Amino acid sequence: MDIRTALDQNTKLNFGPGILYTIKGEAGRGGSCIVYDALYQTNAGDSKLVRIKECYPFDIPLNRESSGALSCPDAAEDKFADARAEMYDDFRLCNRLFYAEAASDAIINTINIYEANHTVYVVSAWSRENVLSSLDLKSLRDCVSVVRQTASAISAIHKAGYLYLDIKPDNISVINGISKRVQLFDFDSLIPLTALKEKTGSLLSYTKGFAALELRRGQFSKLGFHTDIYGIGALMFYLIFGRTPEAPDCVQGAGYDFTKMRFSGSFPDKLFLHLENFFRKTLAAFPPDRWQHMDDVSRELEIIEKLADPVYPYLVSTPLNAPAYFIGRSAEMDALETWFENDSQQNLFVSGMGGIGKSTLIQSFLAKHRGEWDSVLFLYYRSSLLQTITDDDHLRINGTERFPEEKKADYFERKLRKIREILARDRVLLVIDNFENHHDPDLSRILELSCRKIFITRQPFGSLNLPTLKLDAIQDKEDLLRLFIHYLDRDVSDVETEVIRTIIQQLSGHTLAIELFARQISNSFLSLPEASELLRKQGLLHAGSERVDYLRDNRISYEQLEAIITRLFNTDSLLEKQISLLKAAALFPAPGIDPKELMRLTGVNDTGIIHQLIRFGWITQTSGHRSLTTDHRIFLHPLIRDVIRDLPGTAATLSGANHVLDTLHLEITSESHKEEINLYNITGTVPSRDCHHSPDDSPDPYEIITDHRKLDHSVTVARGVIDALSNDTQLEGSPPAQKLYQAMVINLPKHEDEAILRYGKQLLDHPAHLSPLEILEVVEVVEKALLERQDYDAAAQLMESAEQYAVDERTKAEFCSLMGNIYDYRNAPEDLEKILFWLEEGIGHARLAPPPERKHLLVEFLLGKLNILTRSGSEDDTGIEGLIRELMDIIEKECLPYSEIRCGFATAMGFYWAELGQDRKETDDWVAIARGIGEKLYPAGLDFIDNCIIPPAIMYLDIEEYDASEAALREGIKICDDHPDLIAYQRKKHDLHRYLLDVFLYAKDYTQGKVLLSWLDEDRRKLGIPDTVDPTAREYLENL
Amino acid sequence: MDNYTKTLTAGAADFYEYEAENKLPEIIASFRGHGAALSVFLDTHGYCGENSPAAKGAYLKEKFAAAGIDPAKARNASKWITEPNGFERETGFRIAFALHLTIEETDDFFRMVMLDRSFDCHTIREAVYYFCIFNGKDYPTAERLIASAPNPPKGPVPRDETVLYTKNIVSFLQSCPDENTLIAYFRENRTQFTYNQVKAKEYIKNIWTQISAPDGLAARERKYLLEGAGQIAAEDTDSTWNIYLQILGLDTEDTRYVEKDRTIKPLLDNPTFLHQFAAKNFPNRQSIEKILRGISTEHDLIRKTLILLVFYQFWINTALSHNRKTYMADVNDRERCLSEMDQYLLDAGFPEIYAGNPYDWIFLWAAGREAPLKAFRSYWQLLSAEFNELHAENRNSVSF
Repeated sequence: MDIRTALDQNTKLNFGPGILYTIKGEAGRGGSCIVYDALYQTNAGDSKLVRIKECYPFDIPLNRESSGALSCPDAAEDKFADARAEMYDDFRLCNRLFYAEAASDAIINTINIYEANHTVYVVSAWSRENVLSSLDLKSLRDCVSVVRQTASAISAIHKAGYLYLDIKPDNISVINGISKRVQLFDFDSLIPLTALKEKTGSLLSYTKGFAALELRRGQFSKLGFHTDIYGIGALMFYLIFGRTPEAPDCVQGAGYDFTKMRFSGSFPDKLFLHLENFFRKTLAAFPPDRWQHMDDVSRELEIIEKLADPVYPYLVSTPLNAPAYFIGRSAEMDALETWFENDSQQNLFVSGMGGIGKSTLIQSFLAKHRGEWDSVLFLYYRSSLLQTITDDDHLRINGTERFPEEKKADYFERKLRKIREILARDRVLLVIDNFENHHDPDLSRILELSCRKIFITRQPFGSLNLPTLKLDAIQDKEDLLRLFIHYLDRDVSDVETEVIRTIIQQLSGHTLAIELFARQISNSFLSLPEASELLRKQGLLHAGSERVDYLRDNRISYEQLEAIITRLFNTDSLLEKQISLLKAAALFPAPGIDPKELMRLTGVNDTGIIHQLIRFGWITQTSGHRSLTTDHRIFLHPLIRDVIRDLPGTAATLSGANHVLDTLHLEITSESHKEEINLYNITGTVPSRDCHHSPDDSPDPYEIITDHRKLDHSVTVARGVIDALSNDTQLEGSPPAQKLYQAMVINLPKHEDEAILRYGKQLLDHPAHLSPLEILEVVEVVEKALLERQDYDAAAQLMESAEQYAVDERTKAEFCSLMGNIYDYRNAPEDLEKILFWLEEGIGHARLAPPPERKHLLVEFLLGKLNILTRSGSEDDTGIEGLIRELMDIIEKECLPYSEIRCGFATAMGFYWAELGQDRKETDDWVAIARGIGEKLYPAGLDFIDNCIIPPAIMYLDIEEYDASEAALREGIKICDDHPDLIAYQRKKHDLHRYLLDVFLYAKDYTQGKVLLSWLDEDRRKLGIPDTVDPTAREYLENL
Repeated sequence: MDNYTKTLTAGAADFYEYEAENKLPEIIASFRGHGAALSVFLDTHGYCGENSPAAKGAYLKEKFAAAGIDPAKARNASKWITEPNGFERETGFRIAFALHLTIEETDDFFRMVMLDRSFDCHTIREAVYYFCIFNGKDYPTAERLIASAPNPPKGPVPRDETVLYTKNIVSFLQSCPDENTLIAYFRENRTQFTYNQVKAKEYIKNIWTQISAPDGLAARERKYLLEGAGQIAAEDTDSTWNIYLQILGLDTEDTRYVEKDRTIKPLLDNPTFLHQFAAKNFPNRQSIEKILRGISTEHDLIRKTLILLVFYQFWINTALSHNRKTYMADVNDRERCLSEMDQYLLDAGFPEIYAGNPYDWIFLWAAGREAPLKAFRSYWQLLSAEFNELHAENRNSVSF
């Protein structure tokens, strides 16, 4: 309890002739004194403010008498005398410090020491207006300057062997001159270092907000220079933030929110790093974590003071935030770390397509290493580097700006000079985003700057052999899944997770697309399956109209996906011929197409254009090499593809794509059924419909056979193109597209029955640009696929709707052929007449059809009729022989050696000799001829089985050559077993076994028959096809 | 540091985790009760008489009377010396007035005898005590001032009003020139005197946010430090209860018996291994949630919560800052931790860590171990194992 009584206001203290002070009030108390504000009259008659410290120890029971004197009990007189002596010592010390070299004018000028009222008084010069606590310092630099000078004053005290222990604004006087100077006063708390162990808590006074922990804890043995160092830190903290530090500011690794500084303005980032370091090294709760000598503090304050100078030149950092969500890319981050650690590599190019996450990666990297540079500049490339560098809103040097009349080029030079000066001192990282003009005339000058630089670009920068980090889509699918769910902003079920995986695949793992699409779903009422379906059908650009937030180049927009993505891939600078090539390349989605093949299909001869588009990032190459070798494939990223497809389609911009369609169509039609062309076409006497061979070529007729490898390749490519055309508003359904579609469908391999049905039906729904004959050709393949599946009703329905296309003799003949197929496949005894009817009808139309196809058509029907007559056991020998003669006549004259017609004729003759002649040798001969042709025409596949396996098996069955029949069927079964995954082959295998059952029955091998029957039943159920086993045979076998 | 504190500090530093089961009962038994602490305090603050409860009780009665305090208030004074469970907070202030203690001595009295903070200047009553003791005024004056001060409204500080920190109030009290100004101040700021422990609660909220944030200390501990680090967290990992269990190291323990009400209260009833002062007002899920919601609670509970959270925050930050991510302490870490804990406590207006406080002692002991957080957790795991063993026996004895 402090029961000391202060002197009353206006008490006069007369210390001698002409030394009269008037007490104005108590200013404060220390452990050993009371401090007063007082006035004295100068000789000029002015009043001057002073401070008077009265020796009045707290722990001595002194009594204030009415005269103002202090009376002391006898017992305490010695102690009081000691206290007075100590004040004399302090006064001398203060004087000594005042004149000490280091603190010459940083210690307050103590005027004199006087004795009165049975105690001693120390008078010091004083000015209330100058006390730091009552001043409002206007700049950060002023604050730092004051603190630095205070530290210097304290340092002098330390050097004199004392601790100050009560640093606070109330004890600091600031003198305004050319620059601000500070003086310390109130040395009541001053203690010699040697006395630390003798002191006890109650003798020391301190101010809580400015006192170090050890002082507050009363751990005097733990006091030291570091205790005053805390005071300096607290003083700086108070002057900067307007409050004293608290526990969170004093813990290890404390962070400080400099946005809450009392001072606004632009300061170099480095300043904040130094300030943070300063506070951590002064305010640490644990004393050893602080600086231990005031000189260290002073050195740091000198740096901070310079940095706080408003005219200090530095590169003003770009405000940067760490990406809100960053995931994956650990390999790329490692590569950046390696680059960062290797000082010899000044430059780095980071390349990758738009929206793949280049800028986000770099921003995340910067967020991690921000503190390791004095300045970080994140610039967005303008039209040129000159433009980028001279834009002061973009790249700012503190204290440097363009003069009103200064030319931009001159300013560029001046600014570069200034930058070089700064770089000689500061550690700077320069990032230039959207850097696409690799031929910028000033690039080499920027590359030469002595700082680390990162160029973010879509184009790989290979020509200067500079280190490049290439970014592809994030590889870890789980990372992408997390990314999607993050932006979807809700929990997802396991089922939904699988849908998301599909969506990610649909978006090719493109990070921006994933982010935007997830946000769009989040903003819509779509379920994930609905969104996935929409994406599949419409593409990302048109998958919805909801707007989403989007941050790019530090600007936030709220737009539809279409607008964002179209802006991301700005096509304004593309030339027509580049767009044309891109639209053509858009027909070949990933994995893309061999660039040489694209050139062939588009008719483009200049490889430069593809190279250029690859370099600009429009086209993706599957290999990092830049040469267009055969191993490489190129394609457009799905996002770019969407954008390119949306560009206006003109004759010029669509020319490349149309060329692809036409070329592919030509390649398919010229290869397909090549052997079926008329002999006259080869000699040139008859004009050709589809033959594109020059008359001069005159190839060997034996060499004219469909190259199925080539045809299949063309069909496969065409199929990819047709798929890629889906939802292409400009090309899908156009005449060239439909022609190619038709050629592709009718040439699909037979085992692709699913595809035939799907594509065929789609085409038949919208056959706008096809001729009736072309439509019926599609009907034919669809019908056969249905019949192979024994779906006779669907086939009949199809024919009903196809009848409308039988518009002339040629198409009517075709229609008759198709009608006959239904009954032929069904193979019911009662259908024989119907087959013959349609054959006769067809023959009639074929005879009237125009040349050159007339004979070809006719021979097909005649052949059909011969087959039916022989297999039905007709007794009309004359008619049959006449048919054979007519057929032979036409075939010999008109058909190429390896043609289907010849193969069919040989088969028909085999049947003739088996059924009617019962002549094994003749049958064998014709079977061999048919097989010889068949092996050329049908590389082991379903057509070979249909034309060269099943017919001889039937023939041999008819002439009771059961082993030969079984052997033929087993050969067919083996071919099917080579394609276990193709359902069409498995169906065919079932058919072959059904024929084999007939063989067992005829051969009376019922044991095998019974086993086979049960296999057939099981296989039938597995394949989901109807039972075609003869009921009588079934009943017989089952009853055995 | 007196002998008692020295002994406890030495004891605290002296045994390893594996010795805890044997050493703890001895340590627990050695803590002073309030009565013994008061007796020692009197010895060091002017009492020179016979060392008996009766004599010390009479001395206090005498001091009460001399200080103008109703002697009836001291009629149980000799019991204060003998009873371990102590006396009311109000009695503590009366003793401070009776012994003419300074502010600093009152702080010491509350820390060492009451094991509590001294002045809570966010209550008008204790702000008046502060004013009076600071200015050498007696207890009757304090009583008179309290009677003339306005009653604070019930409920928290209105949302649109700035909350005064204790520091601001103390600063005013120290410079307040007279009683009239004091009463006028109370009138002007009466809404402020409903809201206690502003700073402490603010600290707790901030630290809890750092701990429980999605990428906060608890999550990062699970990710980098705990067994199975890097695995996808189980659902609800970030709930107050789960983080609380994680801090105590009980998240991997068999807590079936204590999970019913999501409280570990049953564990705390173990006088062999846990002193009743430590168990009293032990932070729990409910109290943490209460503090986070800004509801006023007892000083002791708030202090204990702050200690627990600062301790966890310090050691996890330290562990995560190691390149090798380890719980092991480096040289100086113990002292650094205690410094930071004291800094928090003093800034929040609480007494610093005191080895004679059985709750504080647990942290002092753990901080001295090679892996302090693990040692701290081993303490609770020991209690958990004890509890489970006992209950397993009880359960086995039930027949169906």
